[in-house]
Amino acid sequence: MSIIKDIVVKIFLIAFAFVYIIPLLIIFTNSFMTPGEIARSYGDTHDFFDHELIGQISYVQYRLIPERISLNQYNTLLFRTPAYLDHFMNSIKLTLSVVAMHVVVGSLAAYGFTAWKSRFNEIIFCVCIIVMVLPFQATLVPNFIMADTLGILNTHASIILPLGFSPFAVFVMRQSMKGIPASIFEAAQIDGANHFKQFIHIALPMSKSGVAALIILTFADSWAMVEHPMVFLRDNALEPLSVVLYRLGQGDIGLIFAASVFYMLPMVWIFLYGQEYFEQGVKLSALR
Amino acid sequence: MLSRVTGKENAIAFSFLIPSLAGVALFYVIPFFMSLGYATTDSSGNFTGIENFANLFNSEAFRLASRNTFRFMVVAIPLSIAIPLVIACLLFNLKRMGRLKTIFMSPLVIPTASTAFFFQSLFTSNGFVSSLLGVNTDWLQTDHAFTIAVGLYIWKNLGFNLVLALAARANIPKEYYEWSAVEGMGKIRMFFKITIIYLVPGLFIMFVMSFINSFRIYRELYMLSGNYPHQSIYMLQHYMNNQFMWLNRQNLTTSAFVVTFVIAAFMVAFFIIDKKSHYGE
Repeated sequence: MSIIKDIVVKIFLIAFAFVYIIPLLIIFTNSFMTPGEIARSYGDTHDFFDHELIGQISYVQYRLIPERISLNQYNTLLFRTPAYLDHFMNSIKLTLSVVAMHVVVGSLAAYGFTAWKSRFNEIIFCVCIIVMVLPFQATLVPNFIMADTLGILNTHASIILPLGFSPFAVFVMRQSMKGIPASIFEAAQIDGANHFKQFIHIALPMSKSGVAALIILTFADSWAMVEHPMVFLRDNALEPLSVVLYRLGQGDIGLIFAASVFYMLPMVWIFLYGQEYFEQGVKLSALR
Repeated sequence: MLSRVTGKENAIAFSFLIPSLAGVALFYVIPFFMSLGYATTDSSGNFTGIENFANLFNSEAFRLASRNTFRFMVVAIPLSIAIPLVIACLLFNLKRMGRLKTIFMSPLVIPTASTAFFFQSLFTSNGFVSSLLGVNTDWLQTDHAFTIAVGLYIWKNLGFNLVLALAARANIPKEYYEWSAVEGMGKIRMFFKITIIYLVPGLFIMFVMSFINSFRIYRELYMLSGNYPHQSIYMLQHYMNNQFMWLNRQNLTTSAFVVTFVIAAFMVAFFIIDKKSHYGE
């Protein structure tokens, strides 16, 4: 009886997972289609995003297997349009800067919140949490005013600095440092270790998986940034590829699948590489 | 002497917070209070007191956006927590199903624009869903838009919550179930008396992440239907973004202030409840 139930549950879950992976499969296989086949599969490229129909309906038809394998999209993307690579480098620069700031600022502050004994500790942390959960649109004006005051509008710094100081990093790192038994810090104190040594030799090594979780979460979020560049950057050449992809989706969809796959690769790599640490880190932070 | 040393040590501990606090103050807190000037003046700088707030609460668009955002959160957040919990409980007892978890996380690696493109191709007037039904409906311009938005949100965030749910589930000692079985407790009662109760600690972080992500769904919604989507998915984020586009700083800061105030009140209440529940343990 329970074997039958297990099989039913398994079939249900596998079917569900299959539905889940379809978008990814379609994006991947369609990246090897010719622009012509894409146009035929997804209707006329320019009417596609218009809500009015012109002439007869040509429905979207998903095709998992291309008629013939073509590297046409990749060729255009990587070799014939150097702008895409520039946008890709913008993405790398923005994302890596934010991630680096998160790891450094976040782990320092998390240790501070763990070690600092004060009745203001929780109040300040609560303020950080509030700033963390606010939607971007609520912090847009403050961010904008400060970028304007500092004269960094229309530079990458206007995106990196507010995002890099986002208290999200503090939250994730604090969750993971909370799990370190207080007795370990106390023992180190008796041995004469100061805060700096405790941070370097205890807090950081013991929250390695928290750092991994933070890196992956921050990477995923910054890699997908859309609102920040659209607000803070006037110069299109400075935009990350995430914004350019959006424009591709609105116009020249012939390239969108290859561009998506290309843009996904760093995410996929970091995800597969760090998945174990990530899960461990997430576990620790969930259980506190 | 000893207290002076600890006082100095404590000051050093505090210094670890300085980079973060300085950054948060500089880019968020201080300019937030600087921007309050806009909320209490008109566009030519005359002090108007609470008039902007009164106008905002009377604004049809702001009320619609607030209602929609609230409705979205009330529907989508509980679902995005409950569904992964159910899947986690199903997955947990099965062998060799660990890979499925990775598949459920796949939406996280797909670029936002590609996700939007895919959903567009599903629900546009000549999209996949229309072709199945043989109609010609742009589903994103009907009342179904709200359902699509909720579905998109759950689809995207299920994997992450599933990892959290599995972690929380793995943390329940097997003995609890064995003891209860000896005492003759049924499977269904076990689920309610053990599983649900012991999953609660993991809910805190699931809730925080789901809350943050419920605002971030704006990215996809914006890409799917621009500044003026169907009125069932016109969110506060749309409203505020449009105020920014129109350079209406008064409305934007006033609504930002209201949103911040509501979220702050909610988070403080949440913190107090969370703290109390921990003292109770």
